[in-house]
Amino acid sequence: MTRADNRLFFLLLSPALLLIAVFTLLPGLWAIYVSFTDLALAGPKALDYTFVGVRNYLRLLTDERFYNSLWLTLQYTFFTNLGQFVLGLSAALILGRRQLRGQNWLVAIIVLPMVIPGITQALIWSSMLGAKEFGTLNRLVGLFGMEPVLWTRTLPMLSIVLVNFWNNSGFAMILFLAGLQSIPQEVLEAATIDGASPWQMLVRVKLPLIRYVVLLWLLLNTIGCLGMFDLVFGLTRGGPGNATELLGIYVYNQGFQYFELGFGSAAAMVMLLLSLGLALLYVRLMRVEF
Amino acid sequence: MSTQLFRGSARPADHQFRQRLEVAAIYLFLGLLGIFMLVPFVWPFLSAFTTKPENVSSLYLYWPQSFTFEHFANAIVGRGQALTLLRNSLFVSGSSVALSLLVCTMGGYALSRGTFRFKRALMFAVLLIQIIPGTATVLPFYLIVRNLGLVNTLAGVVVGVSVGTIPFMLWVMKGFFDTVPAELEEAAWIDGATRGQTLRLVVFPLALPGVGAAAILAFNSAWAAFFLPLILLSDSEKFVMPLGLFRALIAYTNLDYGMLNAMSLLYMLPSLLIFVFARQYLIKGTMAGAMAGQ
Repeated sequence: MTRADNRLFFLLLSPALLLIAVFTLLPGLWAIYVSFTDLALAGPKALDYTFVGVRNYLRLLTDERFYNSLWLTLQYTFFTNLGQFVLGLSAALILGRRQLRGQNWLVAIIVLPMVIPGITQALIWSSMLGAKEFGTLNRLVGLFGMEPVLWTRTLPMLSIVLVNFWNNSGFAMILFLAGLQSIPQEVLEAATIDGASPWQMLVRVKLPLIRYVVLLWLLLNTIGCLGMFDLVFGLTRGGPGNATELLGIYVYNQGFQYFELGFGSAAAMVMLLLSLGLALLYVRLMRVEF
Repeated sequence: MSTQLFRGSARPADHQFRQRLEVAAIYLFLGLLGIFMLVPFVWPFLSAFTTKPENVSSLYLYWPQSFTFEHFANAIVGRGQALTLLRNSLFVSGSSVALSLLVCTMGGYALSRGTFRFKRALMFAVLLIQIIPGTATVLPFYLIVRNLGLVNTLAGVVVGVSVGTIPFMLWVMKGFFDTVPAELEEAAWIDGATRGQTLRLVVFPLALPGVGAAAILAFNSAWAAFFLPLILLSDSEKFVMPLGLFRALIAYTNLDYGMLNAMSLLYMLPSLLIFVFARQYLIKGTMAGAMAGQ
């Protein structure tokens, strides 16, 4: 490579890097600074703000609502990961092993909700989770003799987790499907000849062989839950009360409902550090995969 | 699974029974999963295309009275203002895809052909940035956009949405250029083509299917963008479709779900078309995003 070539490459790369620098890196660094100030979105503190040291972080440590949002995010992450894993893996195992009639249709149907924009998903599910006896889900549970449930009111966490199963299990499925299809046929045949039961085959052979894919999916999904906003905000706006105020919604509320950019940035810092840690793990794993 | 019950029985009849039971269980599971995925789509179509009986709420499933385009008429020429919302959405998605395609085609080519120092580090930094949720840096992002005078403008949304897709697109485009052999370029140089001509006449045509796939993916994510319009836009004539739908949804009083669903279907149309005609691109692109272009 000549020096002229390198200059050309740098020139070609610079617009993309400049945009990333100004609108992603700079806000990230600025957030660190803002989190140590009492900057506000509007009002006197929007212009005349001061450095307040670690006060925002101390306040965060004693803010019950913040702990509440952390705890909710943890629950949301745990249950969505668990459900998607079971649904996605079951579907991938079945669709990856057999040639069933309508196989392509099934894959397509399971992927379909992923393609739909978040706000339409929220609209669609406001009817599904409708509180009266006419809500679609209540009609379904009514078939089994259950009383109508006020889904988003009395079971808010279950409701948003259920919607997540619906819209994101396809992601787990296509990743697991690709992982399972990359297992050499001889390995599976050898295990069959050795008399492995289907369960042993899954736990001792298949899962260990796709562990990287599973781990990557787990990391991406968890980071996704940390930043989750559109779907849950569209469905419940964090309510009722603060019952579904996940971390992303908490940060939004602090910044754009209460106008506290300094305090909100301190909360965003926690989110940034958590996701950065997981993202570093992910990037390290990708290096292993190279 | 129920097959475990029958382990150890070696007679052919039992074996056959066991297999049939397994197939039945599998179809039952897949059937239920398919229903779970599809049932939510019944209501939007029903309520957008049919009239409801008197005295039932349009929020719920009802027995349709007659087929109608009235809800679509309300959405388009009535108070739904679907055309304005769709036009704004189209502008935002189109511009942001064009912007990120432009800078990522250039950048992806440089990342594919360049051998400069720090390239690996740069690519991993880009990957890292791609994964960090936008929510984490949104407050200072808002301040920067405000300082640039772009709050409550579609241009601000375009830039924000575009930057959101750039890291992913850089990786994908680099991957596409990697598949175009460098020997082809060298051959063109020997034939006297300039670097620009080589790019235009040799490299880009070969990378074009990949560019198309990346554009479809970027368009679908830009089309769905809700968070940035929510924080940046305040004039209703600048709203994009998801924001318009959300505002209507939280307005509560006398909500006309028929019209809302008509708008929502118009809004979903591009995504559904992409799903029908370019599903493989979406799936491959999602995979490439998860596995960093591998």
